[in-house]
Amino acid sequence: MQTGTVTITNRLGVHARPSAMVVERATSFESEVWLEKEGLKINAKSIMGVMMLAAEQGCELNISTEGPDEQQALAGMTEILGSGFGEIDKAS
Amino acid sequence: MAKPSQIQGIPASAGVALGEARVVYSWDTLVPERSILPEEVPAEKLKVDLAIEKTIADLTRIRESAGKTLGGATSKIFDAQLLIAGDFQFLQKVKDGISKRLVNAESVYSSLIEESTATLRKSRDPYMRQMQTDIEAVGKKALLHMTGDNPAPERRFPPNTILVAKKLTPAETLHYQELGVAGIVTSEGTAHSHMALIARSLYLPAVVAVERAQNKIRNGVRLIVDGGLGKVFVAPDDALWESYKGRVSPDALANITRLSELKHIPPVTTDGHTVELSANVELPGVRDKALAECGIGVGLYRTEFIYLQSNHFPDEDEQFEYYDNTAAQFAPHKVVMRTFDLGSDKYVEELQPLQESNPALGWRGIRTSLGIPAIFRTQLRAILRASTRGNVRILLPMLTDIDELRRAQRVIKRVMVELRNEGVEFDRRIPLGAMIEVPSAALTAECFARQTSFLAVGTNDLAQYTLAVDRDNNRVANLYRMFHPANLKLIKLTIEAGRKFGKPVSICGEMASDLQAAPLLIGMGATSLSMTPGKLYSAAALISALSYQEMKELADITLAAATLKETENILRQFYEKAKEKAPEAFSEPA
Repeated sequence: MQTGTVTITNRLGVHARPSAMVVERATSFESEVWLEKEGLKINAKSIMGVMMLAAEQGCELNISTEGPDEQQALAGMTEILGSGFGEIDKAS
Repeated sequence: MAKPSQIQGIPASAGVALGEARVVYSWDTLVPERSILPEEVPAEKLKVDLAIEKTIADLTRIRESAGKTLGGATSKIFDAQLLIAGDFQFLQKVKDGISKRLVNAESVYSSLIEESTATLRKSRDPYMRQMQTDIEAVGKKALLHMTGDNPAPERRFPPNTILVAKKLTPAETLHYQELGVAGIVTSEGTAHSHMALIARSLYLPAVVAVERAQNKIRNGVRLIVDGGLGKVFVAPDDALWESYKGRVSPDALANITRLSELKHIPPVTTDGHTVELSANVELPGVRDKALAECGIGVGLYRTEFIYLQSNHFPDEDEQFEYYDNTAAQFAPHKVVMRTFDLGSDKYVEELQPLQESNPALGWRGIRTSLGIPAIFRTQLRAILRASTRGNVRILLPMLTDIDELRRAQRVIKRVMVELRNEGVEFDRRIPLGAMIEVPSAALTAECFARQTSFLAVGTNDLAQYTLAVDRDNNRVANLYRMFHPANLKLIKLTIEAGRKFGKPVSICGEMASDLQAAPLLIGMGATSLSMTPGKLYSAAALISALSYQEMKELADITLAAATLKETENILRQFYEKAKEKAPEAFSEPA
């Protein structure tokens, strides 16, 4: 099992469109992918799960992956969750 | 027979609808839990699969028809809902719950939906709340399929059905309108909710915040919905029914049918003065083609609706798709794209770090655009890219000082340089206009006229700011009088400024479509009136029956009047005369 932590940076948080992006990425791996926020642990391959985290800007998520491609899965999830989801940056 | 009664709610979308009530219950109120036998488990699980299949079919169909009537980006609202409906992991949890708890499918499904939205419900972030709404909308649909009690059947509603519900999402509003609903009454909601905005753009009369509407109104009872006053009459007597009959809002389709008659009524006065008529448009719609064929352009494209009816901020390509479509649809007629007028009465919590105690005087319109250059630039890029497709113009809202105009012009110039460097085609001489809707801008209208290509008077805000009256506040709404001499003077100043510098001045608030105000505004020298499409026919009929000379005289006497009472009397008398001269302007479409 691999574990890591990531902070949500984009201003709007993980709302509907990012949630779909997260699920899409998670399902591209064979391993199981879990996200945890404040004790609430969900399956990242479920959009309802990702939505129910209500991950707003600044919150920390624990990622855990388990399976044949768990390392790539951890790297992939860390990348997508930390990416800002291509949102317009207010400060620019 | 029910006893006649009258209930007051909040006016959300103007217009009158008469019909029979159809009460729709919310999904979360009626999901009884029932124990099942172990051998019933497979049947209950199958019920889940079948309901989800139907839900996905429903959503796909709504998405397609939304794409057709409101354009591509609108249909994206439903993408998230489709993913939610088909969430494999979630459905697995539902099925596991059925075998483990040995209870019926709908009770497991509804409790898990409830659980999924628990954290979202606590959030104050509008984006998080939107996800809750999306999940609940899907849950509602799937549960109705599971229980087999579907209040939104595939067939159309009988004509003149008035929907009574707890609350409706924008998607449901759109769906019910397609099914032929004539009016909406909800027990929750505000005049500024997305549902209300969508209802207004669909010309669907709606009253919201009618306390316990679902309990007070029985299925099948006769209703009168007065969306303008926010009143619902339950089981009215025949006299009231008859008196309201003549005021029924023609539905959007009737308006389109009538639009085709517009071609035969050029807006030219009896003494040969032409007035430009154009439409206020919120979202692309089926009427666009009919309008363009009648030679009508868009005097005010309220671009913020693209954002309001979607659940995310539209990116450049998404905006371009809207602007490009509209520009092409109306070409060669003008399309005046007003940059986002967000803030104030239009939801932008996600843009506002602070709750404003006085949003009408707060961060809105051009202030927001200049405050978040990334959003402003994205929108300008999309508009400029679309400018080669038709006759596109840019209009800036909420200007209070010439410096704001200059700053906006600098941003536009920079964006143009950017596009040129990228080799992107655009109209280099795209006309830029200033919206005059604040007294400070009207008083300095000459500065704006000198530096822009045209002026547009936003009469609703101008009157609100001049008279210090919030029309949505019932206690002071009666003080909102558009014919107040002070308001007329500011409009006159603006028109004079335009005339001095040879720039056209259009009027694009509600005054433009008011049959008492239109002759006055034309007499004052307004070159163009922009209004909701449903009012164009009446305006054209009125203009073609009157002379420019009599309108100018009307303007002279009205402006000379010192008090509100006098101006209102003068206009009423003129209106009565006009009614005789142009009866067709005052008749409802057949």
